[in-house]
Parts: sequence; structure tokens; C-alpha cells
Amino acid sequence: MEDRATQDHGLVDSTLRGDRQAFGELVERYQRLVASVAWRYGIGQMEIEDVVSEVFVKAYRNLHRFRPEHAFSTWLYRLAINHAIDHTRRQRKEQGRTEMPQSLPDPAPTAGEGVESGERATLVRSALAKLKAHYRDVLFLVYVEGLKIEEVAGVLGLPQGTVKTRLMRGREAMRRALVSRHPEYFGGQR
Amino acid sequence: MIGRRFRRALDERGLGQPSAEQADRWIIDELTSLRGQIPYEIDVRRRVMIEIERLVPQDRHEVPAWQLGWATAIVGVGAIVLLALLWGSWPEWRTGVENGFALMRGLAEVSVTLAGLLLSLLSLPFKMLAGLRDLLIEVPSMASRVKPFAVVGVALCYLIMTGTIVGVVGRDLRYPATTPTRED
Repeated sequence: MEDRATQDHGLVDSTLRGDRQAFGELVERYQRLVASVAWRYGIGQMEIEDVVSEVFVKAYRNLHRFRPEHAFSTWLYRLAINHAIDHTRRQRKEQGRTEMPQSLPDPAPTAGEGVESGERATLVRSALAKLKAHYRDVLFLVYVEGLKIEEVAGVLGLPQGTVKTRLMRGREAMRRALVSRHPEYFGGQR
Repeated sequence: MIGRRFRRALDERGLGQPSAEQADRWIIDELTSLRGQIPYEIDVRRRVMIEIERLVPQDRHEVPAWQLGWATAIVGVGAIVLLALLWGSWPEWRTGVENGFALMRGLAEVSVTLAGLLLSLLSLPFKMLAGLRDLLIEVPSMASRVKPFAVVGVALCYLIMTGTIVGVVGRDLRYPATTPTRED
């Protein structure tokens, strides 16, 4: 039996030969992956279908650029991340504010977490939303998406050194903001 | 030192103010807790397919033979009507020939005028090159007039540079510099 990546390549080939139903099959397979990326980026339920559709239409348009040396899912995933970043930036610009959408996903608290932990979680997410975009993108990709430094560098088109610096400075900026605003939760000294 | 250890011990037991490392850990834990799959179902296949249909240009259909026949007939009739209308107001043969020759003569005159203009434009770079050559020929003779001043200038530069070097080296030999000491 063929593995998933080989099947994907077959579907891509068929699409490129004009079989649109093959692309429909790819949409079926990966819509949840793309939607999860958008959801993690705080894109609300109202917009998420728009964003996911846009990603697939973009993928269809650029399918001739896809190289079969890579997995289709990886290629699509990167496309989705870039689109989510662009979307949130565009949205922020349109709304004329420097925050991310307030609908940042709310993780369910695990058993045993206290009130303090819940408040801390809210504060961290709020600080992340207020962080400068170039720091937030890197923090998101590394910690939320779980990408490696070289993968983040590839997605954002930055040198690895810059990604490392932004990661460190972003974390530091978040900590500074949290410590200065909420010393009762995050301590007052280094 | 003892205070820091004490504080770390308190931190580890959750009794004191949290340290920077603890704050970092909370931040990272919170960020990683945002991982996960979308908690609801979505289905965009139909929508994407509609969008894609719009992107793809519609196929061209073959034109049926009867349509082609009708179109040819209409165009043919139109052409005959047009020719008939023109035939009625056609100029005399002789006038037509004379007008044709007059037109050709006029065109020839315009061509000659344009060619003259073009030639003068083309000769412009050559004239500029000739001017440049004359200028270059003049340069050596102009330089020969300022030669004595140039020689004096070079001699003066040489004297000033030699004097400066001798002065600096002499001073250093006479008063050696002290070794700088590092201040802690």
C-alpha cells in the first residue's frame, strides 16, 4: 500500500494534469491541518473558513512550484503559516491597532491548575498579543508551532542568527513586560 | 550569595518571589499550551472547488457549421453592398493615376528631407569625437606651461614630508614613550 506522501504526490500530479477532483481530495485531507494553524494564530471561527479557502486557492495557483523532494503537507503547512502571519498583520493594520485579535485560542486548563495559574496564563497571552510582530512571529513558530530554528528561518526568510536573536529578545521583552506590570505573578528581580 | 541561594530555595519550594527562570518557564509553558488542533470541524472542499472553477478559463466550444455558414453569408452580402456603394463614387481612371503619382512624389520629397535630418543627427557624435581629439592634443602643450610650478610643488612636498619624518623619529628616540599600565 502506498504511503501518504506518495499518494499526495500522485494527487498533485493529477491536479497538474487538469484533474481538479484530485485537488479536492488534497483539500479533504489537509483542511484540518491548515485550519489548526489559522486557529493557533488566533483567527476567529467566523473568518477561519475564508482563510483556509484562501490558503488552498493559493496552493492551487502555485502548485507548479511545488517540488516533489518535499512532502506536500510540509509545503502546505508553510504556506498556511505565511498566510496566517500575513492575515493577522493585515487585520491589525486595518483595525489600526497593535494587538493581535483578542480571540487567541484559550487552552483548556489541566486538572490541578489553580486560579493563579489561570490568571498567569491570561496575562501571558495578553502580553504575547501586545508584543512586536517580528518577535511574536518567532515565538509563535518556535513554541506554539514547535518548529526548529532552521525551519523558522526558512518560513520567515531570515538568517538563523536573526531568528535566534529575535527569539531571545522576544522572550526577554515578554518577561520584562510581565514582571513590570504584574510582579505579584512573575517576580520583581532577575 | 547566601541571600540568592536562599531565594532560589524559596523559589523552588514555591515560597518566595519567582525567579526570571521561573517566569521564563511559565511563559514557555503557556505558549506551548497553545498547541493543539482546532476544536471544531470545518469543511471547505466545496467552496475551494468553486473558487478553482472560477480560476480556470472556460473551455472553448466548437462553432457549429450552420452558424459558420450564416456568418459567412452575412459577411459576403455586406461586402457586396459595400463594393457596390463605392463603385458609384469611384474617381475617373486618369485622375486616379495622376493623384497616385502626386502622392508618390510628395512621399519622396518628405523622405529626402527626413534623410537629411537623420544624416546630420548621425554625424553629431563624430563631430564631438573630433572636438575631444583636438582638446587632447592641446593638453600636453598646456601642461608644459605649468611644468616649473609642478616641479617646485613636488620638491616642497618632499621637503615637508622628510622634515616631518625626521622630526617625529628624532623626538621618539630622544624621549621614549612610557609603557601604558592597565588600571584595574
